[in-house]
Amino acid sequence: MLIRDDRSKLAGAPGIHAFIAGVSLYQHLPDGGGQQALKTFGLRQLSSTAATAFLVYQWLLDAEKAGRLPLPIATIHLLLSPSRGESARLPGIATSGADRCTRANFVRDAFSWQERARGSNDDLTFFYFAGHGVQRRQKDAVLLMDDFGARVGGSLFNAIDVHELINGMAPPSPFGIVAHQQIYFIDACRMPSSEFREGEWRNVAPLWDIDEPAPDNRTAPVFYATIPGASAFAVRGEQTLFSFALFDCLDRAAAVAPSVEDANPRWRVTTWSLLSRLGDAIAKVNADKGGDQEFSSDGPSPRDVVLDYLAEPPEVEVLVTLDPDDAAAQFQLDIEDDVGKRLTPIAPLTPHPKKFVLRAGVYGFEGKPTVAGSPFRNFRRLKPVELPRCVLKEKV
Amino acid sequence: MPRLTFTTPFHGSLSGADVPVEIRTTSLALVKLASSRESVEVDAGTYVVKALFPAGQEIVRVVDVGQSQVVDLTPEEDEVSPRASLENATYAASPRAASSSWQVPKPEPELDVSAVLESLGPEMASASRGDNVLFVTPPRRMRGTTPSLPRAWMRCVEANALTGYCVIPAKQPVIEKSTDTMAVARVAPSQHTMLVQCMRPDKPVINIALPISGEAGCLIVIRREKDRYWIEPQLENPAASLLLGYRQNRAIAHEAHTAEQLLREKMVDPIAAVVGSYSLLSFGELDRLHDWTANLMNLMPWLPDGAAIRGEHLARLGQHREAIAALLATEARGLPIFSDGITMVYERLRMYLQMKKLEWDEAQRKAAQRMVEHLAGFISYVNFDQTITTFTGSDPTRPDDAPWKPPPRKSPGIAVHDVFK
Repeated sequence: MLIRDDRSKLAGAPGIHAFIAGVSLYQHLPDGGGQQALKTFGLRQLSSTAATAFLVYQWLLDAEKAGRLPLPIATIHLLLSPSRGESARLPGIATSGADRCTRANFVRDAFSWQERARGSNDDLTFFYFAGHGVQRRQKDAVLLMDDFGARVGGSLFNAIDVHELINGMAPPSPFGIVAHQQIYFIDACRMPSSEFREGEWRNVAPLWDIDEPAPDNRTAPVFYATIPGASAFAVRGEQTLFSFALFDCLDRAAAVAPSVEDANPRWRVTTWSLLSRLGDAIAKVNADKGGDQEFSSDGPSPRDVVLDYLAEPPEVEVLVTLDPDDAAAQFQLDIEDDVGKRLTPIAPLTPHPKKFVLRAGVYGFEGKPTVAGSPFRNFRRLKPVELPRCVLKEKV
Repeated sequence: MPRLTFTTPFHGSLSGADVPVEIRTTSLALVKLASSRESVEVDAGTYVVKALFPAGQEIVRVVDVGQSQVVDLTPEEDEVSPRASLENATYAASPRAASSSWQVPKPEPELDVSAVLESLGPEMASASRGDNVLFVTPPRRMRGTTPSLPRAWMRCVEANALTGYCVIPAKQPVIEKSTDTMAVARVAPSQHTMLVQCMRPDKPVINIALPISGEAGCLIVIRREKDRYWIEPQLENPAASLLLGYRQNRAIAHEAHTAEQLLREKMVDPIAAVVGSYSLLSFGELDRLHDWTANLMNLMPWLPDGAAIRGEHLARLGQHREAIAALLATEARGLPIFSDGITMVYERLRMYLQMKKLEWDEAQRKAAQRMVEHLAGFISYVNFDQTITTFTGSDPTRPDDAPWKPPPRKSPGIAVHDVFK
């Protein structure tokens, strides 16, 4: 559903066209309330994917309010098929104006999104889907709509082929006007079901006609929550593992400093920095939540596109290790930032190794024993504190 | 104005290689992305100088610049290459090969995570290829260790995986042990597409394309780990090797910078030209590619990637009929050496077959259909995490994931385990 259209306010200025969809309640899977599908492919109801999509939508609004987006929001298409638990947990879902993510609604909104994205080459599109996904072969990704399994056609009738979606957003002949910056997030499994045989790949109903495109030099990276042939996971009743990592990256972990020549001096997250850092963020989420997921990416990324800005340099975890360990109880660490301002000293350095947080930058670290006659020696070091983590190891 | 110059640890196989060097202020704002062979003028002040090698070694120096000085970009002692001949293997390899974390089995989770996590897809036991302990793909969870040296064999084959041609040359490369955990084999130049096959009992056979040409061979680096071997071909061209390393490890800003440097050099090595072209295509540098892609395709009629790159270049320029002809030419040449080439041919032809308004020559349409179906068969077994084409199958012309059984009497190839005894 087109829940927001600010194009008239923008008066032709470039903007962001967001298309966000999340499916938890599948009508034709067990406990879905509808006639059960003839083949369920081992799929079950979900409890967190519609909520995840709603959180992505909320993130966009919050980032806009904080002045962090690279462009103003022009349009938002939102489709949500929440479970009862999600609707109760997030009442905003019901009042968001979103329609259910059925195939018909998705196709309608895809055309509407495509049309609006053809306003200017300087626009940016943002696509996020969270829900069930399958793979018929490598290099494939199919998204299942909430009416997947309805007895109206082949197995994959109410499904969307991701590559077809992306190909349809290529610059149209003859003039080739479409948002040249397109970002895709596919938060779904890419597991093959043994029941998909190679010959069945034709059975995803076409989303749209693919016309002969004009010259195509889009930046269109696709971020998949998982590698081909593997599962994506979510914390039941909360949100997907991929989204935990993505939000961390967008708010901190994938931030990079500006160039001295940048008109906008703020730290920012870009498509390239996200590609470089998302793997680490997912590894951290895996460690925290017990997951086992790796992201993958695809699609051309010729230009480094800013996804959002940060208000301040990001916080970085600092880990200080002294050798020998027992020095830590008798040591004080003085810290000075790059403009000479002294921060609150840290003493003692226990528990050891000592962890604390600083904003990214270069700092002077001076360590000294706090006990007179100590056998340990002072140290002094100028060190950059950078993402993902700063480790300071000293032999004293 | 003072100048900064740089010294690198490259004195052997990476001698002359140029790495990107970041020069940042103390608030970490980027002053310049320079090259290690450059001399950079900066205002007096304090700067952070940082170089990142593809294998993950990060060299960071905080320098007070009052007058011109030399910044040493040698990594920490434990990360320095054990010898000059192994620089390529040490600094340009995939960090997953070099990282010790892949050698340590991850502990089994104490909780039953299925109670907490839900799958966004079919619930399946670990039958997916992602869970297979492949020869070259690190397992996400290593269940226990095997104390003895695993048995494994290796051999090179000359093959056009798409036409069914496959021959095992009598002359095989010799593996030389370099350290306790690393061995290297040198593959001679050839104008035929070649693969190295890696075989372990009860595991699928891994086929890895060899990035060689008539002008330049390659190295095969074998790393011994606790219960398996990591095998990685490496280019002889230092700049191309670094570029491929950055590309493999998603260090995109570094890849972009290195691709530009490669463009400035004369491309006498067609494989280096292929690597550079893939990067330039990724960065949409269609103008910089000029006639390069046409020359690559026309002057190297045996090289599959030449046709794939040319096809993709033309497609991006909107010259679709010419693109189709180039993409179809890949079949006679073989499976592209780099997995990006497979993606380009497959996705483009699929897209063209979906276009209702495209006017086809009927013979071309049938050829495209056939090629897409043929490639679909391979794609199921290709590991697209690897930049160099890697797929499973005892017969490289018929990919599968059947476990391999060693023949009872005949040695199937070079015994890798004997090298590390």
